[in-house]
Amino acid sequence: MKRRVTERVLARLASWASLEKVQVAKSIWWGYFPVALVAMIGVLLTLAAFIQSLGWERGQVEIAFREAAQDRILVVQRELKHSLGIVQDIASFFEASEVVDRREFRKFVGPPLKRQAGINALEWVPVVLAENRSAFIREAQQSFPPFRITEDDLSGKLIESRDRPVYYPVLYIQPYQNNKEALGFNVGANPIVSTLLGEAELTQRLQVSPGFPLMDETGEKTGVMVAVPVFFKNEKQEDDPALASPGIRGFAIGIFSIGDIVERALESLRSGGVDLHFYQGSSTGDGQLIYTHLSRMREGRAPDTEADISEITYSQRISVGAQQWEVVCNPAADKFQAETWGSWIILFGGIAFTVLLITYVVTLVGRARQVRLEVEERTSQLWEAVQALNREVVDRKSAEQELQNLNETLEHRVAYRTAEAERRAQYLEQFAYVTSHDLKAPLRAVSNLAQWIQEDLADKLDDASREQLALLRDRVRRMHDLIEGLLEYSRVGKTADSENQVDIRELVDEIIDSLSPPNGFTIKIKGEMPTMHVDRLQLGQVFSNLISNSLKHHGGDKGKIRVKGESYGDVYQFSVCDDGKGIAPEYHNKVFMMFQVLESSDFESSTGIGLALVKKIVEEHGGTIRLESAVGEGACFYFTWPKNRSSE
Amino acid sequence: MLNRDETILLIEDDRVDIMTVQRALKKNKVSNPLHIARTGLEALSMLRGEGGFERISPPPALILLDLNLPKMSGIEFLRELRSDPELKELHIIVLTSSNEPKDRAAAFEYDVDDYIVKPHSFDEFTRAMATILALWD
Repeated sequence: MKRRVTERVLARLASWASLEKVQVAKSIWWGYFPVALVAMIGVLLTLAAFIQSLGWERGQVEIAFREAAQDRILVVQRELKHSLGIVQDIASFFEASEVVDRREFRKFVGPPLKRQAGINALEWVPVVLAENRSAFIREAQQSFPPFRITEDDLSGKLIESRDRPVYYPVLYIQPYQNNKEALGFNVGANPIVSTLLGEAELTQRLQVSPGFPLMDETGEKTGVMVAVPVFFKNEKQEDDPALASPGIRGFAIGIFSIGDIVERALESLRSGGVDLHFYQGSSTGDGQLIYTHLSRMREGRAPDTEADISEITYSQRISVGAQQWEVVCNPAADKFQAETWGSWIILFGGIAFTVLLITYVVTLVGRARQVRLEVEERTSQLWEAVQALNREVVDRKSAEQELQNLNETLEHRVAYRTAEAERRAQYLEQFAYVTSHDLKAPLRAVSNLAQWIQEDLADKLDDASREQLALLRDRVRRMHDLIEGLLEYSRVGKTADSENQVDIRELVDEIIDSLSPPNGFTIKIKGEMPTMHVDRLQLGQVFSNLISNSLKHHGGDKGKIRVKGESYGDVYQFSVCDDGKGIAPEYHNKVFMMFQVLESSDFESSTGIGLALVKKIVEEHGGTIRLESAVGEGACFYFTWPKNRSSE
Repeated sequence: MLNRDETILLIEDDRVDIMTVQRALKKNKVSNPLHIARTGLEALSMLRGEGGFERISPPPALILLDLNLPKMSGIEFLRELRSDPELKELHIIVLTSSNEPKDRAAAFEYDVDDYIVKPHSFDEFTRAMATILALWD
């Protein structure tokens, strides 16, 4: 029952262990959660950094581009203002002087023409009313004889101007060489110019014409005409602006090549990969593209339309006279590309770092897992060991139990045997007692009766009857002795209460006395006869039997008997030797057996118990006995007796 | 020696043993009256005058007691006798075939005067009786 309970407990523990295993397996997979987390965080951070860096780089590029564009626009704007300002200067010059002759005009515009690029022509166009036409021509022909007022006919041929209410002839023009035909040309006949001049007069300030094609030696360009009105003095303020026309004196006009001005302005800057597009008005809608500056970095390559539709543009409005222009900038094809390699380094570096980190974490997790597996394995091994140990303990316990049972059985058996032995000993004792009382009493009665018959019939008995009665009594006597011997034999070992300090020499002397050896026999005591703690009665019986044996079986009238003691280690050896007829070797073993009598029963009284008794006593006390004898050479009995044997 | 009129009580169940005692006394010329009881109970009855027995009066000068008796053993008789105030002073000699030390010790426990192991030889017994009676006072 006990054992079944133990097994049940073990089974339950085993089921716990397997449950534990499942949990461990699950948690091992959970161990990879940090890896996923690290991967996710790493990738996200890397991507964020990449995007941020990319944005930042783009921003940097945009800022650089915008700065470059702004620089260029500023330079161009200044140059334009400067260039166009000459027309204003001319106007001021005319306003300041009553009369400006041809030579003065040439002198005035000479330096700007040399210094500045993009000036195609600088003109002075007076306003000439119809009634003043001939006077004007006459005055002009004084300084320039071939002067006349001209205009284009329908076919484009230059002809003498038709009659008009107002003429706007070019009176002075510089540089003259390229503009001979323009001298005297009535610019008012051109509707565009007429509108321009009208606006200038109306607004009383510098006006810029829409762009128009301009031919020169380098090809077609876009040009603009700039006009500044000049009024007669002191009439400008007084007159109603609406009625200003009569007060108008003329117009300072400049024809400019926008492209040349822009290029001249940008010469001062290093090439920066910026394209500039100049629009009159807005860049979208009705605005007119008047010039496009392609970055010198292109080195003459034509703009790739697709590449030039850049994501980066910059536009700015500038004022040119009364006009609003818009300058749109975009980077040249391979310029102002965001340098994104830094971001890519961040991206790939971040990913590489993440991979490294993941590898590390995987290694860690793997190691942890391995450690865990190992621990688990060790635990299971330990568990098995514990189980084995438990089994062994159970086995041992059962074995122990068995042993105990066996022991108990054995103890019971021993106890039973002991009790049986004791019972038998008691039985034997009882038997001896019964023998002593119940056998001896009748024998005694027989003996007494025989004696009384002998006594009572002393006179009437013949010799034969008398002898028979004597034999009867003798045999009864012998039987009595046998019974006595048996009794003594059975008592050996049971009388352990009589151990005392005994002087062995004294004991032997007493025994010799009691045996009263016949004349002719001498008994000597030799050697070491100690005083020792012995059972006096039994050791006495041994000596008594041996000495009386020697006397009885000597076989002669005279003899010497020697009793000797010797010390050997922890025993004493005593010997009783005679010089009698001796005992043949074949009888040496027999003498110690009970009822073995070597001589006829008629001879002497010998019970055959004496030596058996001696042997039993000696052996009961832990000693040994032996006989040395040969026929005719006497006999020696040697026996040992322990020196210090605790009483039993 | 016993006075002439002093009596002896022999408690013995065996006829030959009774005869042995009688012959030994006769051989030693002791003629004092000898009462014989076959058991311990009978002896007690005779000493107390009970159960149809005539009381031995005066009490016997000497009681010769065998130990191995039917119905009531010699030791039991001794215990009974010594516990009786009127009888506890009586002199007793044990005559027994038992040489067992425990019997001897038990007998002396009840303050017996002597303990004689019945010898095998009648002559020896006679001598032993003579010695005892001669020394009796």
